[in-house]
Amino acid sequence: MLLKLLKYDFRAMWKQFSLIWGAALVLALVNRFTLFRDAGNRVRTDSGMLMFVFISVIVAMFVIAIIFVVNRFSKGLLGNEGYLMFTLPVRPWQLVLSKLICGTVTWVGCGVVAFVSPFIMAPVNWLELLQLSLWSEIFTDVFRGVMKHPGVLVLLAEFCLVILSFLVLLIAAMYLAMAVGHLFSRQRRLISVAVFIGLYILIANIYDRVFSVRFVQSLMNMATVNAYGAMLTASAIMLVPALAFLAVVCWILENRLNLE
Amino acid sequence: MSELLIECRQLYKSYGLRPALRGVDLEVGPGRIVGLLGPNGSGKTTLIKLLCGLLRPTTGSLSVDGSAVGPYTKSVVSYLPDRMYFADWMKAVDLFDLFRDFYSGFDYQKALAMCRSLGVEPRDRLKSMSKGTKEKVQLVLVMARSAKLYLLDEPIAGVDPAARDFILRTILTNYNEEGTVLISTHLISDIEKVLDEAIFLKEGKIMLHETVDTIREKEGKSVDALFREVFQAAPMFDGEKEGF
Repeated sequence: MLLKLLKYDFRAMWKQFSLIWGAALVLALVNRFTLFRDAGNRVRTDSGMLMFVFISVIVAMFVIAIIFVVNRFSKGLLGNEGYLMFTLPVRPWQLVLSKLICGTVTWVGCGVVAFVSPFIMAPVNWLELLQLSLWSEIFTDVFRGVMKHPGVLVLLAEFCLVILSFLVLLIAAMYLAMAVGHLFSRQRRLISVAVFIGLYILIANIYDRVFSVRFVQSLMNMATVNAYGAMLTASAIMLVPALAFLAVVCWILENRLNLE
Repeated sequence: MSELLIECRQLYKSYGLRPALRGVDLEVGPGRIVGLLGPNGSGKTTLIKLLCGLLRPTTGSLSVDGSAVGPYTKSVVSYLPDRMYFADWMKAVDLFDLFRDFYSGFDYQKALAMCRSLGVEPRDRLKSMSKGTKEKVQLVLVMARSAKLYLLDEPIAGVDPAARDFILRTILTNYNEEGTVLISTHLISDIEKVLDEAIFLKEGKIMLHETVDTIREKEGKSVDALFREVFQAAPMFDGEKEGF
């Protein structure tokens, strides 16, 4: 059932973001030919507007991604669409998990587009670059390097995990704020914002107290003795409250749902 | 699975301090068309929402087809809410796909045929449809399912008398006859002729639960007439003295 939910969440996401991601990539490509001169690599002063439009699209993309995550939860579950979603033969945690996965992937997708766009825009002749025989040497060297130091791949995976953990924590905090706001009959949005800020303060305070305990400090010292342990610890520090937030969200949706 | 399709025992539901249902005991068997009748605020929608799993009872027990409300009961309940639940980006066919994925008893071809007979173009965006057409789509989604329990919350409220007949005809010609249809409404005269049983709900309590035939025999009047008698509101002033 989770896969079926994901199918519809991703379909909704794709309807919205295929246009935005497409627009960002096309604008990057347009800028590639209008903003720079291939030969001199000099910026054309009359193309500033296109650059401005491109940056605006990238900024808008992230703003829309945040609104998307908020709306998919607040309208999709706590609004009228909830009448459909909560009468499907699934558990509330499956609905939440589906939205969480889709929201995280959306943000990662936006990050990828924002990362790739400058490369598309750069005044580099990619065709020439790709034909260089140097590439085989580069790949060989990289492969040898990775084989010699396989820890690099682990480090890279852990880095991705840290990023994902951060996104999950952020989305879980947003979900909890909206779910708590939903418990009130008035000023739900205002309460949700207040809860979101309150959660940040709460986590900071709890961790401040937890880390001041000597036993925890010595544990932390052992865990963060190298970069591998440090990144895993950072992920755990973010995932523990995220899971707690999600558990509370599921409980509220299971026991305190009121779509009126 | 069970001889009783709906079973409520001392069902109590409150919103904060305000009670909506107060100790409801109810048993409904399969293959019935039941009218859930009561004035606004009597608890009809709350009872329906409890049955379809949108709300949790404050106290008391509730089972549908012998099971506590959960994924199983949701798979056998077909619910028509009193509002639109569509996402704007969808088309009717997207919803048909969704229902086919989640409900094994959803008949896709029947849904398309119902759309044709109701004059709905299933490939149009829901965003571009009128309110009446959206209501038809929602009705198609509910009635194209072979469910054990159909929960219809005010399906004929807010539409003209001709449309009421049309909606009722659609319901009666499409529901699974082994299942039970629970229709909540306060427009009793329009549905009385199709009902097997009537439940009168007043201030969160069941005032009466009888077959329509028994009501006519015992009371010697129609369900509509009895409803008017039971739920007659006392005027706030003396109408005769004021010249009304």
